[in-house]
Amino acid sequence: MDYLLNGSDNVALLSLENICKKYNQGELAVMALKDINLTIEKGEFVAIMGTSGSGKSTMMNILGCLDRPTDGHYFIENEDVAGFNENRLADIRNRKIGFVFQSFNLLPKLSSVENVELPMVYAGAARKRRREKAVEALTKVGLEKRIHHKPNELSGGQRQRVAIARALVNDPSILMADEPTGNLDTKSTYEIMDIFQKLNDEGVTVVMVTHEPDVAQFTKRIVVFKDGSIISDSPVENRTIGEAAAV
Amino acid sequence: MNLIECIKSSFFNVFSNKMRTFLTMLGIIIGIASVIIIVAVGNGSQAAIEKEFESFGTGTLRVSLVSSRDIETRDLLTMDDYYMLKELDGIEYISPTYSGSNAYVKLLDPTETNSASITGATGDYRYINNDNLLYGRYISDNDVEMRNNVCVIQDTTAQKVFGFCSDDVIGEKIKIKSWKGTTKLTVVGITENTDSSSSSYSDEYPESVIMPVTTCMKVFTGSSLGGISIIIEDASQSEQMQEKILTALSDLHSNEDKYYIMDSTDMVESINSILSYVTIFISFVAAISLLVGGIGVMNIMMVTVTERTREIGIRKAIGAKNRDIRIQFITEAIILTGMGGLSGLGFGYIGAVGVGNIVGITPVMSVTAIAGAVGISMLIGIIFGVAPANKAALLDPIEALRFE
Repeated sequence: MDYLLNGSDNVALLSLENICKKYNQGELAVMALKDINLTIEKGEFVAIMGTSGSGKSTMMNILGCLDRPTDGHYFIENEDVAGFNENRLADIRNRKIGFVFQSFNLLPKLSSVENVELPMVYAGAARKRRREKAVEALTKVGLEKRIHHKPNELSGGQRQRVAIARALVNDPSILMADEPTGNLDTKSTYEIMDIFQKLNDEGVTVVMVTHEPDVAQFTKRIVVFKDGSIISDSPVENRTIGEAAAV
Repeated sequence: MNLIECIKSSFFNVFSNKMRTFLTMLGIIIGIASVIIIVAVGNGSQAAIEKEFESFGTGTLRVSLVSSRDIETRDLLTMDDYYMLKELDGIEYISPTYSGSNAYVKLLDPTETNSASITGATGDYRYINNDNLLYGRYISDNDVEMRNNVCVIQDTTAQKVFGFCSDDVIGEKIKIKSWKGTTKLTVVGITENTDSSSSSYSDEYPESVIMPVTTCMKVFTGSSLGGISIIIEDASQSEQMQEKILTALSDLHSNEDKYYIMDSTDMVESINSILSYVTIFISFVAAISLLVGGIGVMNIMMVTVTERTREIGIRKAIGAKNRDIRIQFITEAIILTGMGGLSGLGFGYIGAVGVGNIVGITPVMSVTAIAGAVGISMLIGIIFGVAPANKAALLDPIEALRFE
């Protein structure tokens, strides 16, 4: 619990109130999320767990502003984004959210630094500043010597680190990671989790979807979904520390 | 995303698949090139025709016999008609004309000949043909009356026949070969060849020889005139004069509707209108090829959008707005068609020069045509890029990210 209090004022960063998500599949209406209430505070490191079909991916899409809830309110830093149009959501994604995906999702024809610059391109940052910030972000994830490499010249772990650098480059309020270690071997998994932990120590809020219990063990809080509802929400005990595990 | 970033990124994408880009552009290249060739050659021939008729001022009429079967001997135009019309009021210059056919001029090298364009005329022909006399004199009434073996040639012909062109050529003789044998003509005058095109110095260019109409008819054993060329005093009175001339001729020959008169301005106009119809028709065909090229671009852009669905998803996830995606794909389409248009312009120019060389026309490239070609090709990019760009812009980011 030390981590939770460390360096944060426990301000509600993300707050979901009565969030519902309904999908219409033919005549059948599927409730992917049922009346979800969840608050994530600044500086937290949360794992969202659940089996496939539990609603955790839908949850991630709504948290990441890729999708809109059918009903309810979603506050990001006291701003209700549930009713935002596509353009405003794109802006929120750009400025407040950093995405890390299972399959890295880097643009294959661009170099590491160009990939990392991309969110800043859409933010309209000047060229020089973009390059500085991108190099800084890559340095943070230990890839300062790989800035001109293309994704296919990098290992899986390195690619994911480029993706993390990209997610960080616009100084977002929150880092969203969707199965970030799903395509990685154990060693790379530990490295990536180590990076997340260190970023979290620096004050970055991280929300991570995973179905692997031992990966969830690196976080501070585990929220478990089942059939569109939260069935458990508890702090992590005996937390795994990435640095130690990697050795 | 600012425009420069967008253009840079679009160029990068367009050039990352060179073969496809080239093949896609090909339709536009061919379309634009054919438009350019047609317009340039069309304008060139129009300019050439106008130049041709420039020498004939307005108010130049040409009387000839209608071409139909029921022409009788008494209908033929003769020197009597010329003498009769000469006395009419309102006529400034008048000359009968008779063209000698299948004639050749012996050149400096006596074994070589060059084809000749021989015109029998009278002294007034100088004004009708707008000839600029450099040396000597023109055909005189006396020459016509006496059927003198004299001629007026052009400076270029003098060069080729005598090897030089000066006052000394006057009094020298040229030899005309026809199916009737060889005739020697004394050069009495040299006029300036105003045809500035280089072909007038080549061997294929027929040598223009003007001789007294009577002499010409004697040499070529003709009995009737080819026509009568007239410049009237008041060009605005053209219609009345035509009426007057036709009546006078019909009275003299006691016939009806056997002659017609062509007005020089009418001729230029009718030729130009035929030419512009041809240009419009071929341009229409070229426009269809541009349309097909545009559809090709749209097709490839659609495929590109599908192929890059995941990229679009990634870009949207990190903050690209629908507008950013739309502008990016439209820019790519414009770059494709714009580059196609520019290449088409280049190929079109080369093609126009080539075609111009073959048909002997200097192609005329207008700024309008160039700006139009580039503008139209970019417009095609916009028109045919909108649908694929919208498809890309409206992709759902979640679906797009799932796309394999």
